[in-house]
Parts: sequence; C-alpha cells; structure tokens
Amino acid sequence: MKRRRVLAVLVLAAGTLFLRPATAAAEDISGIIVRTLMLSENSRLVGDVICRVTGAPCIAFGVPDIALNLNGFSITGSNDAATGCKGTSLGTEPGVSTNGQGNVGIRGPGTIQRFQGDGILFIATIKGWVQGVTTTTNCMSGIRINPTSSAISVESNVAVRNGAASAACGGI
Amino acid sequence: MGSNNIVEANTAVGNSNGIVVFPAASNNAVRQNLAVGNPPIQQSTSVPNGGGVDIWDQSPPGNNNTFAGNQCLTAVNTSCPAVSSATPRKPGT
Repeated sequence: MKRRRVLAVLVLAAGTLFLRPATAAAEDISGIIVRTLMLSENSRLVGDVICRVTGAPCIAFGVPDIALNLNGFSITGSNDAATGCKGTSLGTEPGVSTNGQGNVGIRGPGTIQRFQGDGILFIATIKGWVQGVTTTTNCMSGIRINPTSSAISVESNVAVRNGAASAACGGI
Repeated sequence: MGSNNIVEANTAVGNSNGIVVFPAASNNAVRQNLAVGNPPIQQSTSVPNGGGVDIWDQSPPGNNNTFAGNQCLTAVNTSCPAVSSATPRKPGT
C-alpha cells in the first residue's frame, strides 16, 4: 500500500514537470512540450525537445530583450521526417515565435524542424536576430520575417527542405 | 520580410524557394548567401507547376532592397551570378 502511494506521488510529480504552466520561467529546456512554452528570461536547451503543441507556437517569447540558445540540440514538431510538409501548411504552428517582443534572438548551433508552420517566425518584432540555426522540413519558411517586423539580422543559418510547392515561402 | 533587415551568409538548399523578399519589403540587404537547388529536383518533377527559385525579389524596384554577392542559379527580379564566379565574404570584412 505504501509503495503504491509513493508511486502515485512520483507520477503526479512527473506530470507536473511535463505540463508546466504556460507562463513559467524557462532557463533550461528539454523533453516534451504539450502547450506553448512562454519564455520569460534568457533560456537554453539542455536536451532535445519534442513538440506536441497544435494550433499555436511551440515556444514563444513572452518578454523583450532575451535570447534562446539552442545549445546544439533540436526542437522537433510532428511532421513526417521523410515527406516533410505532407502538402499542408498551418501558419499558427511555428516552432519558435517572437510573439511581438522586441530585441529577442535565437542562437545556434541547433535544429528546428518538422513544424506545420514556419521554423522561426519573427512577428511584430522590432530588433531581433537569429544566428547559426539549421531549419529543415518545416511546412512554411525555415525563417520568416513577417512584414510587421523590422531590423532583424538573419546570419549564418542553414535552411534545407522547407516550404511547400503551393506557397511562396521557403528557406528564408 | 519587413523593412531594414539583413540576411547575410546563410545557406538555403532544397527548399520550395531559397530566399524570398515579399512585396511590401523595403530597405533590406540580402548579401553573401548561398542559395542553390531551390526547389529540389524531386519537387520540380513531381509538381511541375509549383515554381520556385533560389532568390525571388517580389518587391517593386523603388523599395531599395539590395542583393550583393549571393551565390545562386535561378532568380527573379535580381541578378544571379554563376556559382563559380561569386566570391565568398572573408571573415571580418
């Protein structure tokens, strides 16, 4: 009986870790994300990330003046690795969205792949940067700067097999 | 792409398009990038009407978007020098 009680506590604790609140601070990130992870401070990956978020960004910036360091790891959506986009794109499902925050950036090395939308989306952002990131098999652009964003530096990134034939997007 | 952005020293290969500058974009600098094989040959043969190029400037000429030193094979509304004649940027310059 006592063993069952301990096991139940462990399961609850594990569930709390994976279903973290959407506004939680995120300095170190790894594992499975099931709801949009809103960054509120400088953050880094400490392991590969699997995204199970639908209809929203996997990771979004919640405040200005912070950076996400991929630290050599990957952020992977639910697209098929071999066929990539499967012919359908969904703009509301980027891997990382700047979410209207200014002076934010994403630093590689690291990979953002298999998202139904863009790999990285700069939206309504003034000043931002992305450096050394590999984007691949995302349904829209690997890196997209929305018309509402400006003063963005996109430098030394690699974009491979992004986009769909029906959309005028692609690598960058 | 919006305005006043820099796209520099990136590599885009095998995408539906390599680098696209959207119609309303202005004052952007696209330089020293490598964009080839966009779209990939598999997509070109299986979706013949899909289009796609290595670099595509969709903005009107007066929008002051500049393209310099890019290596590409296909382009629309911008020049596309042969890969062999383009000179990569030296570090620190």
